[in-house]
Amino acid sequence: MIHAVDLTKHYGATLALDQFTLTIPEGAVYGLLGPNGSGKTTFIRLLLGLIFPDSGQLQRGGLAVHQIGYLPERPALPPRSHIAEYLEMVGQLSGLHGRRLRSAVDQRLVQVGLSRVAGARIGACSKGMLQRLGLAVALLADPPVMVLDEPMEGLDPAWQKTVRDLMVELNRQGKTVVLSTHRLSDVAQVCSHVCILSRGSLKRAGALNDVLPQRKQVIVGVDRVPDALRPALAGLHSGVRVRDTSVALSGEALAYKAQVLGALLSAGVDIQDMTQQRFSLEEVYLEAVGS
Amino acid sequence: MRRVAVLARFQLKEMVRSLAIAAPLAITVALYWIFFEFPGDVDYFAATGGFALLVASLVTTLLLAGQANRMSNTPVVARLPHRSELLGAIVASTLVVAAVMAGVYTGLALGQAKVAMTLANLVVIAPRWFTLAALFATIGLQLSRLISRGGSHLVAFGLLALFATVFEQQGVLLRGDFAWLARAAAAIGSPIMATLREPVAPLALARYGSTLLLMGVYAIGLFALAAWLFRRKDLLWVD
Repeated sequence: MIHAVDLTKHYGATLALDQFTLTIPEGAVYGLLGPNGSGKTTFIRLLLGLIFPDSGQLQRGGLAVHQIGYLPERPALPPRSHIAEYLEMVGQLSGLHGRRLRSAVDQRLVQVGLSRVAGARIGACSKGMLQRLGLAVALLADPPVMVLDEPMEGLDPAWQKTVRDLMVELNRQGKTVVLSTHRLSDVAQVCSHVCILSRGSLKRAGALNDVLPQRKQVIVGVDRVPDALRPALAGLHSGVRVRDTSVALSGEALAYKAQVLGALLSAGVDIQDMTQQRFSLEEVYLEAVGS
Repeated sequence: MRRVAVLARFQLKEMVRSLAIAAPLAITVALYWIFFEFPGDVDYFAATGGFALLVASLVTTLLLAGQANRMSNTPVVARLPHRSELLGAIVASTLVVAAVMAGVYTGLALGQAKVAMTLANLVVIAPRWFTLAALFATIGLQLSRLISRGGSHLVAFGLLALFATVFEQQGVLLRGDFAWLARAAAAIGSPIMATLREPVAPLALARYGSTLLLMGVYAIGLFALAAWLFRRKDLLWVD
């Protein structure tokens, strides 16, 4: 279990992480969500021991930092080294030697589809190949915890699916995966837990089902909400959210359903449908980060 | 130690591939041409070779530390149980380069018959050069941005410049108010000067041993300081 308590980190005068508390259960696939500059990468750097907190504590469940597999956001690897040679070097640093090392390198090269170019220079790799090599480096020593920072970056759709499947497989093996991403659909598909950060603060955290509100919302679908009508609808209640082609009501605002429908019909708006839905991760995210 | 050896081999390969190895090689050859315009005796060879090696070692360490102070080094650092292993690998790589440069210097001097010496002379010179290379590798660490915290490498540069100036101007300073500073610099620098200037033969074994020991203590102390500075340094590589 990874347990962060009141982590605070400044870069000079900039507050990057503010009393950040989070528990990542063993075996979870934990999604870190948040806009750029929200503190995701800072938390990852703290987790990996690359930087140190100004205050607070970080427990890694008995793991040393070098036992955590890490895929950086843009894997910067030494361009003059050769792919297999570099993997062998990293494997040796992780304590692999002899037959175990060769077998681990071969296995990872096949897994990331680089076995045919194993002798190529890293500098000659495309962006996608670099990303896959970075993934091979992270997976090499079969670490119990994997930290993946934007793993889909630069990958084509087929490899994106492979990486998603890989995360599910790692989870099935009981490994803990920390996934930092902007891709909400990936989080919704593979993560068991999620946290949302904004400006260095934790906004939401927990099991995915707990983070998504159990309460439902009613969505009134229309051809277009007239601009003139928007302030009146939005003014009915804070739970009424007016968009271009829909009006969503949740919580106490559901009591205003009749008024909303009446206003729309009076304005001659063509009501196309009315559905009851759960909140999506996107809606929760946007609400949490204040967009 | 195994990880240090793996890292050192990797760093040396990178240094050769990036052609950065040309820098210590050029320094060694250039200093050889300057010092050996005319033939010299074995003491002169030991002193000039030692000086060439200390400069080459300093430059090599700075190059290796610069090479390690990049984002591409993140996967490597993230795999090390102790960050000092990275510094150990830099010093080890520097010593390998210094050994090659010692071979080049000696080969040039012997090949061009600029010095006459025995194998016994070389056996005495080799540990002296080794300790000089080790000491200046650890000084190089202090001067590098890799371990620098709060501009500590600039402080190290300043101290080194001050030390060199005081040492050079000892004669003048000893006659004035700063005699204590000149005496302190002389005391601190005495093992280095002894390593460079002591006659190769006849060998005063006790003095030779104590000089090497003091140089070793300096090197270990500076390495420990570098490891302490680097241990909890925030690594924010963005290249």
